[in-house]
Amino acid sequence: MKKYLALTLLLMLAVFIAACAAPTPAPTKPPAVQPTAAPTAVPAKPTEAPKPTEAPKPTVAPTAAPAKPVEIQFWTSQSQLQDEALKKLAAEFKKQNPNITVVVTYQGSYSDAYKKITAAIAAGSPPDIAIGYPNTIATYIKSDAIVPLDDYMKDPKIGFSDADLKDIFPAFIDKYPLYGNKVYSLAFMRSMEVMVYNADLLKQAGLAKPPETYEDFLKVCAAVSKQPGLPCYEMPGSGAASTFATWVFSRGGDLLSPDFKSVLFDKQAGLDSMNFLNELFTKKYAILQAKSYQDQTDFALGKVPFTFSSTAGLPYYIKAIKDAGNKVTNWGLAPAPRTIKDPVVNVYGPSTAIFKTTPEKQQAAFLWLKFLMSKDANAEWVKTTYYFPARASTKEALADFIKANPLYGNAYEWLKYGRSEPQFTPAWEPIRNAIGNAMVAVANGKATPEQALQDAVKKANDAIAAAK
Amino acid sequence: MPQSATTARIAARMDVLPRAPTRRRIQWSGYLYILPAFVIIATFHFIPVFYAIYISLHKGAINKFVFTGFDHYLRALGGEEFWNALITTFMYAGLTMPFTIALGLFFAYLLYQPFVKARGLFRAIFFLPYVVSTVGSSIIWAWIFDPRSGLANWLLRAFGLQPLRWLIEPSGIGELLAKNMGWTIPTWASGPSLALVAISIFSIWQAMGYDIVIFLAGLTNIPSELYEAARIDGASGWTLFRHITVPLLAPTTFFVVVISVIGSLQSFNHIFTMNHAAAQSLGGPLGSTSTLTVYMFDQLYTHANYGYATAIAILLSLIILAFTLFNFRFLGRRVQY
Amino acid sequence: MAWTTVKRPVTSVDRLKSLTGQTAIYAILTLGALWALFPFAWMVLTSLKGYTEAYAVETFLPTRWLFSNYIDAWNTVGHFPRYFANTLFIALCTVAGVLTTSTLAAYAFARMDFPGRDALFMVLLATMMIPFEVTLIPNFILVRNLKWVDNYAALIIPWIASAFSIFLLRQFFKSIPQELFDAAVIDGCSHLRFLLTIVVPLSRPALITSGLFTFLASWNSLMWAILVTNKPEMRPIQVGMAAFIGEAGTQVQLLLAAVTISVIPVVLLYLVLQRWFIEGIATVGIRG
Repeated sequence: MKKYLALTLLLMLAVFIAACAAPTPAPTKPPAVQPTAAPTAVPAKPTEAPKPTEAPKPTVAPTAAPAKPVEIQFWTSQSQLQDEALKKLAAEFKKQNPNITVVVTYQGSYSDAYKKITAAIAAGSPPDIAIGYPNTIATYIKSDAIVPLDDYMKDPKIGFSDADLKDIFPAFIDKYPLYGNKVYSLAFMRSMEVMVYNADLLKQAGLAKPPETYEDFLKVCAAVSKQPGLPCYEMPGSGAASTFATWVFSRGGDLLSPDFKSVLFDKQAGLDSMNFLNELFTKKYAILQAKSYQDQTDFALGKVPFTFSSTAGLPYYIKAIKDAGNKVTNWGLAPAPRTIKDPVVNVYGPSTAIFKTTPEKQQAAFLWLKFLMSKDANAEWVKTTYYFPARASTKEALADFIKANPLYGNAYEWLKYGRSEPQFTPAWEPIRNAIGNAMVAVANGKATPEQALQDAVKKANDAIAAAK
Repeated sequence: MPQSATTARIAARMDVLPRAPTRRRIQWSGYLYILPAFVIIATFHFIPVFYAIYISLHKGAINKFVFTGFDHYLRALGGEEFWNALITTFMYAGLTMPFTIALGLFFAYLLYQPFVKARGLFRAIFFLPYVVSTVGSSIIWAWIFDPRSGLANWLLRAFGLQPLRWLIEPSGIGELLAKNMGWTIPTWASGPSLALVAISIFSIWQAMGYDIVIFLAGLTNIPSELYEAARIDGASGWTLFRHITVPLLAPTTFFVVVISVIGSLQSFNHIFTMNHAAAQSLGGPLGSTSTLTVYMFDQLYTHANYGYATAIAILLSLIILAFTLFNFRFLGRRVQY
Repeated sequence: MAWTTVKRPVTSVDRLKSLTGQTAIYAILTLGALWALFPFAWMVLTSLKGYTEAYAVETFLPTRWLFSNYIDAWNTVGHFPRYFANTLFIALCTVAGVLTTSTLAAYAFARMDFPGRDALFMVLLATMMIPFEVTLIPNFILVRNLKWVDNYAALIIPWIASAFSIFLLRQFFKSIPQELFDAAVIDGCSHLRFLLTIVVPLSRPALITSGLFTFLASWNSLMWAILVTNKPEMRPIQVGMAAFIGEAGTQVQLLLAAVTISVIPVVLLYLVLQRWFIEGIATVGIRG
């Protein structure tokens, strides 16, 4: 105690006096600047392109496969199983193109990757090729960082043949109306927004098959709501813009004009959709989700008859149902209810864009992208992810898979009904948020459907103005 | 031994006697002491600020900037969104800072009592929330606030109260209370949303241990002789706290206040992850948890408005700087001895 | 030490008073500890449950304790040992750097007098006020030009000085009695010696506190690590965790198992530091 302190102080004083007794203590032995930290084993190695080359090289596609070895950086947001699948495909590609090495790197979630690529563009060191949502790719185009692919696609040696172009679904070739309507990205995967239903709960409402009209949908809700605690639809707490888009399409409407310059979602189809949502909430058929994928979990537990989901979620549904002890055995996918004649599904998802680097790398990147879109590679990818392939012919390669996964097989047939939400503009992300906010406002009774839509239109117009 | 006793006596009288005037002597070697830190901070944290100012005066895509002058600043100050976000920021600060600091000091002082045996264990427990990454703990807390199966509502039901929607409730707590009582109140009186309150509860839980540890370290730095000397003079309990702990803890308290102001005005991580864990849009529900940093982040990454977002960041920094200067002028003066 | 031994006789009333007081204090502390702990208890309990059970609050304890969740989580995240090693290395280097640079700078700000000292200190504080996101891009450009991408240097060097730590230590150094200092200077002792032989040992709790915060900040940082690394083998644990969280989706029990795994090393390290903490306290003699 006291002794302890005294002793310590004494000791310190001893040291201190001894120290001070030394003749003119060298006052500034340069403070440890060499900061203890740096000396790490790994030498600085410029993994990036040896030359940043921001100069936009002419886009005339070179005509031959690379003569010298090329390494290209492929940045993705696909983790774990999907990451492994892509690495396997890269190895396969290397076998066919010994001169091209594809380095697949997971860069975090889509929003993390977006930040990273934005910083990399500013620093003049973008990747050679990357996966991203088209609206984020649109912001890269705005920064003049993306190579248009039209010339590569048309190139007689390395481009797509006419047969190829016929085989590839148009929804996988991304044209950007705000940027000369050129093809700036291609997709080797897409998913679609579908309705997931629990057939047993439908049966209780007297429905033998999934509702094709909104009246039937509400009928199920009325029947289900008699059991306390069972909602009919669970809306994500951030709204559900892709679902809203599907509802609008299914009423013959659209969200934006084809040139992405004016708003259409406040027209009749949009208003009807918002009124439908309002009805679901005022009649207490719907609740708001308080955590991500709550509807998926509840669906697996048999607590909700419908969810609207991307087909990319299909493996998670299958797993959730299994994990929940197979309480739900009788379930399926269907297009959303509709007021128009043909069903319609919202087809969307990540695309792949090539960055302006060197002609050699750009070309190698294009060959890699083309490989990913080829029949066999595409089929391999689909089997891991339940995404939809870019080509009609992939179906043959998927025959066994489709047989084993009838749900996926059904959905595959609806690709021909596909329409796409307006994702090829930087304005899409803010517009999505504005629509989501409008849905949440209606769900909380904070705004009428008309008010909510008007607010969203105002924000959407601001975003469109900013995107120019 | 006489040395230590003298030191202690001198120290004990420190806040009573006028301090001996210090010799003002310029010590040029001071620059050498701060050099290593300054090289790093200037390079990575200070010079980039000028780049930020540059960006805030431009618009357009990331490497195709166009000069636009003070447009972004005028737009922020002239628009409703900025002010709403500022109000939310202050509400959040008001909901978290006083509680965190008060609880932190309270528990630190209890822990500091000499008879407390398991001090290390308690401190370890109190500090645990701070150790876990925000991503992890926000997942846990979103569970606790889950409207249907969360512990929070389970507790409310146990007391015979109505369950609440917590993180997804955009209505103000004033509004909810008034509705419960059957009153109607004007919108300005509706107060912070329940979602913001829930996030604040999480934030107090997370940050309390931080303040405890700092306060405890500060208390520990107070030489114990002072207490002993005062006890001989017959002081005890509150008097000891008031006349020895409070003044000698002042530098620590000052530090905690300054850091808390900066931290709560800048708070982003908790809000972002809690929004995310509760499946809300950023700053949701309905923008009721959109503080200035959240608003900035939204502009930066959702809208890709680099210039505007950076202008907001700089305005926010100026606000924080103003608060910090205020603290240094009015609190700091009373603290620095 | 005669001056400390004067005590007034202890009566039984006093003893009772202090006993109830002590019990009350222990009770409050226990309550506080429960408040801090219950979410973790719930985390661990949930992480051991089955899928369906995890969603039901009614069953507080798992009916079957599924330790296999931990194996699943470990296997799915993958590269755990490498991630851990990276994180640890980066965090320790950062702490060493911060403590060195901050001690020197904080001492100068607290105890030395030189022109522009207060202005420089305000500049230092001002750097804390700019949100990290804003300086992300310029910092990345710098690091790239230094060819530090995929190098530990990028993960360490920018963070080996901290305005926060300098501020923290400065406040503690200020609370060391001026007289101690005056005595030393009168003796003609240099600042550096005074700092190393008196201030540093006296400020052990503050140094450990500062080191702890630095360690945690380093351990838990994510965005910067993603930005400056491409190779998985260079990345810290949080990147792996983030990938896993994206993937686990609805599997809350696995998610929480992974969170638990990522927390354990930090908690262990903290408990180790705990010993030093107490030692630091003993040095100052507070437990008299």
